[in-house]
Amino acid sequence: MIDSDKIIQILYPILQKGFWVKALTGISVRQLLEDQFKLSGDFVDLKISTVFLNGKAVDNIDSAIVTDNCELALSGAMPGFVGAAMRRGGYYSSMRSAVSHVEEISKPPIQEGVVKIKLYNTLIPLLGLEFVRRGIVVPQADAAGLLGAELNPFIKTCPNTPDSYVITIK
Amino acid sequence: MEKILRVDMGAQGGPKTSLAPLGEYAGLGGRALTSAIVAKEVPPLCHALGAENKLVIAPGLLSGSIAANSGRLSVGCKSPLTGGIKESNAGGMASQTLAKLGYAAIVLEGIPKTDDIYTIFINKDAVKIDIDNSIKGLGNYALIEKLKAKYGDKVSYMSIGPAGEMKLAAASIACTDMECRPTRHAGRGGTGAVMGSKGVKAIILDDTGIAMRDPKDPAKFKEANKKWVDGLKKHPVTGQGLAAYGTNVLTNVLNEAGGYPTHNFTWGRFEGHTKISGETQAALEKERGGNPTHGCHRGCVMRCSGIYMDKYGQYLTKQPEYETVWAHGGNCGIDDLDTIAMLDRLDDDYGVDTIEMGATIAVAMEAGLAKFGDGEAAINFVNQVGKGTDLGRILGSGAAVTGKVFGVERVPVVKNQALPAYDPRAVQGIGVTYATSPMGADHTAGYAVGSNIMGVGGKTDALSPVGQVELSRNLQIATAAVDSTGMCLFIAFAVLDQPETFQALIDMINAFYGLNLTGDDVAALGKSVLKNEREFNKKAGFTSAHDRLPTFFTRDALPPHNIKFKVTDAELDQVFNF
Repeated sequence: MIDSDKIIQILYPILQKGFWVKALTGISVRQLLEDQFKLSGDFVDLKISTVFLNGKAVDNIDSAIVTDNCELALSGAMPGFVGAAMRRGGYYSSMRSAVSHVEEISKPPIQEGVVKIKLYNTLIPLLGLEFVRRGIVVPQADAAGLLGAELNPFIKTCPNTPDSYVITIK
Repeated sequence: MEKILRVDMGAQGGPKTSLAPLGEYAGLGGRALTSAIVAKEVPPLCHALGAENKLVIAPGLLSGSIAANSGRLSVGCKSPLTGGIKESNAGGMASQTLAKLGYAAIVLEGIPKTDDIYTIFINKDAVKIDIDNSIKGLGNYALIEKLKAKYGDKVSYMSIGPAGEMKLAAASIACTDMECRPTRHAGRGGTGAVMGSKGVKAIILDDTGIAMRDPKDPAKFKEANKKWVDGLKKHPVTGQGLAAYGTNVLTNVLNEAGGYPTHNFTWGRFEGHTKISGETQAALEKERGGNPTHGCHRGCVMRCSGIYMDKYGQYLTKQPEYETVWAHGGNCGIDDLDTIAMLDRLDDDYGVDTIEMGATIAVAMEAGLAKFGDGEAAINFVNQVGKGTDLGRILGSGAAVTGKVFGVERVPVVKNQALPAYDPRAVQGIGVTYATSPMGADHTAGYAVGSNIMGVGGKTDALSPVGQVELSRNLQIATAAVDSTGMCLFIAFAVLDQPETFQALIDMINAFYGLNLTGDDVAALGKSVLKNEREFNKKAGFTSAHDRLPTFFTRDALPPHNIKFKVTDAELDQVFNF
């Protein structure tokens, strides 16, 4: 029996800082979330209200394309005027147009790749466990604090490359 | 709430009180009332610390009722920081208590003829003004502990710390919270210095024996309040996100957008952001037996505040807000939550605005007085403010003064007030509000209710550059109206998305006062507030040249997206074209 709260409590620093997952790239953000990560359309539309692709706020997740080695940050609804402005497709999105995602004219090829995911706020407890269950890749420095077995009876850390680890649930 | 209490601190023979009906101010509350009184009664060219200035303290229209989240207090005056009109808004218990006592406003006038320190005690039977020099120089925490021995912990306190007594331009006025701690502040614009100039150290508000205010139509009011509460609870921000993580939930998101001002607005990202994020803060508070879900006043259903314990599990401060964590954190290169919480505690104790102090310390760091990231130095700076050393008095006078004294060009202020936690190069729309608000740089000035729902100013082309100006204008109008109700501005998130929740707010006001206001009337109120404020500032010498961001925002590109502020002066001058 795993203690999901405990796992999140141990891993929330990594989940917000970012981790790598293997995924098909060259597809839209929505396809990544729904087809690759198996999230329901309702969940994506209702819970993931703020999306950043390579640090730019995304308005249309159907046309924004994830590429190999890109960074995707996912957040719930944010407070404040700026929080509302960051929301995808929101009424105030023009007020942050300087940091809005602009789609590339050329489409990248569809291929296996890796994507860096960052989970923020309400999405940490909602999505964190599922990503860890599938296995997340983190830099060695971030995994260092998790290597003591007594600290994490529910988590398995395995070397991936010389400078990274895979973290999964035991 | 049909009377105004005036206290003439400079009267012959000592302070004198007088009571008057609302008269020409009838129908106004909160910011609408403070700004109307200041605009009409304070000479715009007077010295902010002189006898001619007035300190106006006004609860909102619905404060003291059972309306959820109606406990915000407005404090108005001519600002010693900006030189213009000021409305500073605070949570805590004072607004509810003052409204229950029946006062639409307290107006402190004149200045005393001696250096004595005064307390003002108000209950249902009397107003009592006493000299109490034993409390001179006390920090807010020690002051409240001392006053509690006399008045108890069932009353509300408004007080100033040493910074207010020294009349420093960054001085705040503290309001006690539900636990009777001096944690909620009318922080912006130096209102504490004006209270200090009046010789008033504390106002004690005792509502013993007084019931909540009754609406004119109880049945309709109850129904509207239920819809109001349901709307706040069902919305993902007001019902979930804020309660779980507080306002500091914004740190990660602003950082991701590259709009998180770091090292005195040099960069848009802070490497240590996850160490000080709302997510980390909430986890730490839980681990130490604190509480990340806590209201700042009774009747709050959003509960975006919290309790922060130190590493020994002892109470240190309330949960620092996003603005505070940013100001003392990323903006100063500090990535340690305990250091930031200590700075918040010291700010509250000495009675200074956390945004102004954080921005000032970053300017001092840029001047070379300490290295970015040096938390110990930052704590020392704030302690110097509290002690009133020469350096402390400079720092306590705010970022603009500090920048001048130490020869720093990169000083992030508008009308001498420090910019809050959103870089206007990344979020250009808020830059428009920073530049043009009559209050000086203020993130809450254009924060509020969905102007699209209210229909203020007609339809907006959100994709055009002018659209940003129009949105800022509409938001400022809507915010001025909400500030007049006594509602917490965080209601905006629910109102923004849920027209029925906005309607519930109007229905509550109508049921409470027996009115038939529409959304248009609310918009008209917001416009009239802004007109009053703009007119005051114009007479005080402000011109369009004051409605500008500092030059470095249009000259220096902000990494990582390398963007500059691009809204033109001509566009900025269109904001107040109504």
